[in-house]
Amino acid sequence: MLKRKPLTALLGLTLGLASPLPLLAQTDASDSQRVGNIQFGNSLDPTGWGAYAVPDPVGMSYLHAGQLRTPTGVLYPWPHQIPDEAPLGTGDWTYTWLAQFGYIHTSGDRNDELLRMYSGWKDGAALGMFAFSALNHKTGQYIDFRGSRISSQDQYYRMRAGRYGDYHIEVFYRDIPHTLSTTAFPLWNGVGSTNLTLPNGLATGSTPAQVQAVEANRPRQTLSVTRQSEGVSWESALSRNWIGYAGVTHEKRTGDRDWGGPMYLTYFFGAPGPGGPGTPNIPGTYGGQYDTVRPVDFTTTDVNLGLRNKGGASGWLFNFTMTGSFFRDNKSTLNYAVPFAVAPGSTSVATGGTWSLEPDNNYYNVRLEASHPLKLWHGEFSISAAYSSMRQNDALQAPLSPMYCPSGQFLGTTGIACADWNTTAALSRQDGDARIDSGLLNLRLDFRPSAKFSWHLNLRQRDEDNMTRYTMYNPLTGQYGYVPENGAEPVVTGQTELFQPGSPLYQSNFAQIASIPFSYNDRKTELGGSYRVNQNNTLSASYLLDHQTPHPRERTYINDQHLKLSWDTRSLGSATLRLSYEYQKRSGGPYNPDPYLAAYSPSMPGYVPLAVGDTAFTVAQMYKYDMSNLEASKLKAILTEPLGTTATFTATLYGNRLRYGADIGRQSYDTTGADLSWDWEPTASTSMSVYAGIESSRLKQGNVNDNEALAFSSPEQADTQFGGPFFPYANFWTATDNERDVDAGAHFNHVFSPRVRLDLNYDYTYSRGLNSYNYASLAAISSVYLPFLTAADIGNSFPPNVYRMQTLTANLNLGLTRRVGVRLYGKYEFGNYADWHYAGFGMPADLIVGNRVFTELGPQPHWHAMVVGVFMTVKL
Amino acid sequence: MTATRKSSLGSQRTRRTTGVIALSLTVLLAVMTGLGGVLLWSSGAQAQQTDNASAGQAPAHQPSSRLSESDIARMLPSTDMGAGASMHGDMHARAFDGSQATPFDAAPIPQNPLAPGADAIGAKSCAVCHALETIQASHSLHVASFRAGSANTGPQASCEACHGPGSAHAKNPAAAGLIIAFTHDAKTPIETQTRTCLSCHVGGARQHWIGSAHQERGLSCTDCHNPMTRSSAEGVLAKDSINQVCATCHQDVRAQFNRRSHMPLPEGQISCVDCHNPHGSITQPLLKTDTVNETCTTCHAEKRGPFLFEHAPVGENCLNCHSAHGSNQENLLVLPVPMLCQQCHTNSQHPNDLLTRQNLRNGLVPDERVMERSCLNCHSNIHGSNNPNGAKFHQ
Amino acid sequence: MSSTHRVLHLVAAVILWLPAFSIAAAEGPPAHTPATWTDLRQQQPITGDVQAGQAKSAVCAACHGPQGLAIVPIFPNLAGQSATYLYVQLMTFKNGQRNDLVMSGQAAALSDADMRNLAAYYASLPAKPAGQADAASRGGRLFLDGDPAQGVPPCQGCHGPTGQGPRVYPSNTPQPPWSTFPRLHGQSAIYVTKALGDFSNGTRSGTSNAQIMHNVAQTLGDADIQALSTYIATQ
Repeated sequence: MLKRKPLTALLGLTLGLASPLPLLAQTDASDSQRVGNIQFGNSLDPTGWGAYAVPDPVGMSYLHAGQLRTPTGVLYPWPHQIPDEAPLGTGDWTYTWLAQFGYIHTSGDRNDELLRMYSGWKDGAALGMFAFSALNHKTGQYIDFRGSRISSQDQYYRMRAGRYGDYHIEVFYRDIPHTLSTTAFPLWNGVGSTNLTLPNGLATGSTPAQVQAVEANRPRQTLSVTRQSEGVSWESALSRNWIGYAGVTHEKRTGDRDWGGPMYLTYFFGAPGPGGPGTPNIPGTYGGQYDTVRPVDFTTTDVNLGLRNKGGASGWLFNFTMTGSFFRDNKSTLNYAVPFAVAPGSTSVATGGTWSLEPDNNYYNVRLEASHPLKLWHGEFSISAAYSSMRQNDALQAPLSPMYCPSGQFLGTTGIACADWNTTAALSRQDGDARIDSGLLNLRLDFRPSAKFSWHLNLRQRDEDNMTRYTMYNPLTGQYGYVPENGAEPVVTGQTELFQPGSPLYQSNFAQIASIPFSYNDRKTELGGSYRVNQNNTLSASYLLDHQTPHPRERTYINDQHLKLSWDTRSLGSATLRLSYEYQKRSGGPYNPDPYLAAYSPSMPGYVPLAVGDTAFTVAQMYKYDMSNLEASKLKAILTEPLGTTATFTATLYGNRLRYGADIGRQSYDTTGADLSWDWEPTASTSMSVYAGIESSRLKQGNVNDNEALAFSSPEQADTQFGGPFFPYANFWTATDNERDVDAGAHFNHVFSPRVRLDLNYDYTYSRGLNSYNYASLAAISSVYLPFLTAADIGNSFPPNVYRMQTLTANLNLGLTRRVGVRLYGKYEFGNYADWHYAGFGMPADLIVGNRVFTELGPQPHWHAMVVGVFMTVKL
Repeated sequence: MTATRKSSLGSQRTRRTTGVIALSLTVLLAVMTGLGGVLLWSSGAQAQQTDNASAGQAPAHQPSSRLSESDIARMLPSTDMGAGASMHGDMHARAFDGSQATPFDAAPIPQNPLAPGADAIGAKSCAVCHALETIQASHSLHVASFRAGSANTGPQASCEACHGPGSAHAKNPAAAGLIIAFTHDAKTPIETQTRTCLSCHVGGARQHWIGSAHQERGLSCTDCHNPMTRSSAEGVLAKDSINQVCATCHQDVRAQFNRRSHMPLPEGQISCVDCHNPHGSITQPLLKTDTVNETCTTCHAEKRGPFLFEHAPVGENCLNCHSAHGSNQENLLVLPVPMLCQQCHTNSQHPNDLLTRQNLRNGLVPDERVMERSCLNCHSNIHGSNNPNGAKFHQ
Repeated sequence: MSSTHRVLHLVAAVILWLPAFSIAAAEGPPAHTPATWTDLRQQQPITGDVQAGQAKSAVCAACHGPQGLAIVPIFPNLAGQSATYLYVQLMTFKNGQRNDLVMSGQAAALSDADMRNLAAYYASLPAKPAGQADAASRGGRLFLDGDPAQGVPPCQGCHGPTGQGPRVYPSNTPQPPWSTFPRLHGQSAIYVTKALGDFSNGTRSGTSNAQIMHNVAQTLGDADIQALSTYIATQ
């Protein structure tokens, strides 16, 4: 044993299990314990097994026609033809293989974002499938390989090998594409790096017209991220009842995605258009927003090691897992130069911005699950405990970049010296030192006192300890707080987020001066039972009290109660109906609209309140939807109805009604939907299905504009009451998101003759979202727009968002000889898209709007694209 | 000063939290040390356990008159999923008599409560009538593993290890219930079906099967798995892929993957089981990790942080803002920005304005709070910022 | 729309229509699967006109006897046999999936209606009275219990505990074509021996049922066949 399986033996020895007899537990290679890399497929073959999905006309049994059904009543698909095998060498091994290779050609709008979202279509040679399997019929040793490649961004190769019931090894390599935009025209040079520079001819202080002229000629780029991952895992029976497993995955994510770049709000500074109200305004020349492009250059290494016991003599089922995940960001900053001065004439400072991208982090998790049967009432006791820790200790970067705020310069007229902020000496500490630990304990008792009745009690407590404490304190200046928006805000407005006790300039500033260490603890208590009324009817009920104690949040505790009732029946003929209803009621402690004061300057000694007070943090009547009261009803029914011996009808009906106890914040969220499908498998060589579904949802929210005239000028600005002077009823507005989704399709699969097989799919998706709004008076909009806009201009909705896609996919397999065939693949996709976020962005020059630079035009409004592939299939 | 702040923000919290965390750690350690003891004890206790188990079983042959409710209760599986050593003891003793065979061929034959008098007859007899089934099953992982190593003796247990003793069925095949069946209209109770599978496939991913949503709603293993054919690349599934299996019942969820932004499931790059463990879990809805966020951050590890500045709803639950399967907005968002953010941000000044169609690029007053990435144009580090200037996530 | 685009649309259209041509094209090469045997899995019980069958039965009586009981043991008794079984046999004789020097010729002349009528007629005749079979004999054990060691399934499963046809229960699940399974009781030992031999060596393999019987017969040794034939003959 030591020679044959050193790793196994090593693990066994470590745990003191080295047993003289190699009595093995059965491994089962089940992957349903770990997250990710379970599924290997691609757009050419989503199941990853399509090449073998050749119906076998002989069927499943000589004894009866048709296929049997699952216990619920769904037909099992007809069996696939069994691939031929051949002996491998002279031993007991046999093998089989299949290769499908050919050429893919795309045409039409081949660059459309939605066509390419997760498909790396590329003209050129492609590997539809290469699969190889070998099995030793005597020893149960096996090896399975399959791989497919559409392009270098979209491919997978995976090998599994082992011995049945003994050990199992898996190795994979894969690339998954994610296209984020194909209509990006970044203004900057250096996309993909950590330093975005202005193209020739532009420097901070340019006019919108100058920038527009350059932007109009920027090349189109695709923003995408590719996940390249590889992994190896192992699972093996160590002794009679012990199974060990381990795995390492390494993932590299590279690419670019759209990002931001604030240099202070510009909307404040517009001026009426030349035609007066009703004509487009003249964008202001202060501030700036930059839709930049950030690099993605991540690696994540996951390690997991575990040991489990199948029960054995002690009767305890154990599962012990240790997980470590190590994330590394190879490009953790982003600097960008800006073409516009944040204030006209002030070009010397705030000529760019800097971002801290995600820091490296480590995550550890130790988990133990154990369960044991109880003599009482055929019971089972189960305990799970886990401890996890998320840690991050990256070097912090200087608040401002010395490139854009060089030493010797000052931010506008504020007297803030760049030298005091462009170095890490300005920080209270040099590293992130962030850490959140959490502990979980879950206890469960299940009992089955009689054949008809069972009940359970589950207690679960999960607590977090957020140890991150960061105080924004600059030892160079003795100030707390920060210089917002890369210094742009002080330059434009003279305002800062700085606080300094004893300083007349800063002692009354309302500023955030520390991080807020959020933590969420929760305790769930569930009691449930199930009663089998008779052979065909089961009733279940459960009550769950979820007691959450978030900190520091608007409520110190929340009680979320769930009452669930369900009825599962087979009494309606041969159909199975599963019906469930859930009533949820959430309440909690008093709602404090501003629980964060401890992290703000007024909590500090030396804070001198102004005569006009602090501006209200928020309106008192606003309830955040994760903290607010909630009363919800959810109903769902799933019906599976066998039709004769060859067809099945399935229907799903559902409706959710959520009422949040809020006027301001989320008010309600309703969803109603239905899905129907019909599957038909008349013979072993024909199957088809038709489906259709509809869902509509409606989310309503309320909000109130503050009385901007009072801000910083009147003590009434501190009034947090809705209906008061600062949040008057007249400023109230509501927004409703109405969405309607329809999907339908038909699938048809037929073997015309042993040599001709057709697979045809049509899928249709349509969704329409309408964002409408209502307001008490025009005071709901920003006061800066009052001179420009009338109620008629505003109307009551955004233009509808539409996403419609129709896809026709055909696979025709023609057998030339027993071993050689041709696969013709065709996919025709067309659709249309409208999203008001991108409304008006038609060409690259449109991306410059006043002091704002955008990057993307958004997905194409209409697209037609076709992908065809010709493949040669060769098999053993 | 800094130290004071630190304690005022979190000391009380820390103490309380540390309590439960310490408790969970203690439990972990206690059970770990307990493992060693259990191991030593287990070999000695086995014989005794076997006796107990056989004593507790229903008599093998009894008059096949109608079963009373109490008979059924007596025959019910205890909820340990057959974890007792008795299920496995014999099997391994027989399996490892020096041969190269995998342990399967010595698998125990489960009792069929509906045919208490039946005897095992061996796979040879089954295969005579069920010839096509045998061919198909032999090429699926499940039965292939039974066949391996039993080439000389024949895989005698391969049918009855799951279907129970076959003699009664062979004599009267049309009478339902005489073997353990796993299909629609089978007279075999679902509990017997699942217990049969779990007697070998015990623990691991199925540790929490009892009490799981699928167990409580009366699903059987064969609602999702079909060990009689090889339909799927892996997982002995009842359809060609995991996603097709799940979509049989969860049609509404399948439809969500057709939306404008979605997880790459229709493209075949991910499956439901990448995130969910359909066999049961202690985290709703059948998640593999302890929280929603731990599931998401397995692949989106950069969003795990922790960051200097955290955004309250982010650390709480990714689903506060994202719908995990698919959405009509970009980036799986529940609502379009800025409405998404304006559900909570009613603070003074720029967040709480009503923004309208006139704020679009082609409106009268284009506004950065609406165009393109809206709020995220500036607050891009919305998942948390590690920049000392990043309290508002805009650096 | 570019010209390549248009061309590709055309290609797609062709691909989508190809099956229409392929069906015709595919008629040529013979299918390698079920054509070699008649699929009885969907065979429904047949009906026929007993009177008309009787009118056609004169030739049959020459061998199978005036009351459907064979005059020499080499021929099977037809009286009380399952009509559907009889019909299927005639049909397979006629289309060549079962061969017999005499029967192939006889069946060739029959129309489908004739076969149904004849089958119905013989099914309506009183079966041979039950005999005194020895359940404890080797044949009896094989018939009733099978022999797990050899992999012999009990015959009674499909042919009934007394050889008078299978026991059938109402069910919604796909069922075997029970009506196509013959009643065996009282068939002569010589005939049963021949039939099992034909199944075993593949002479009689023209139906889905024969595929099963081939496997069954293969598990039986010569002595088993003898014992079984004797038992069945005395049933």
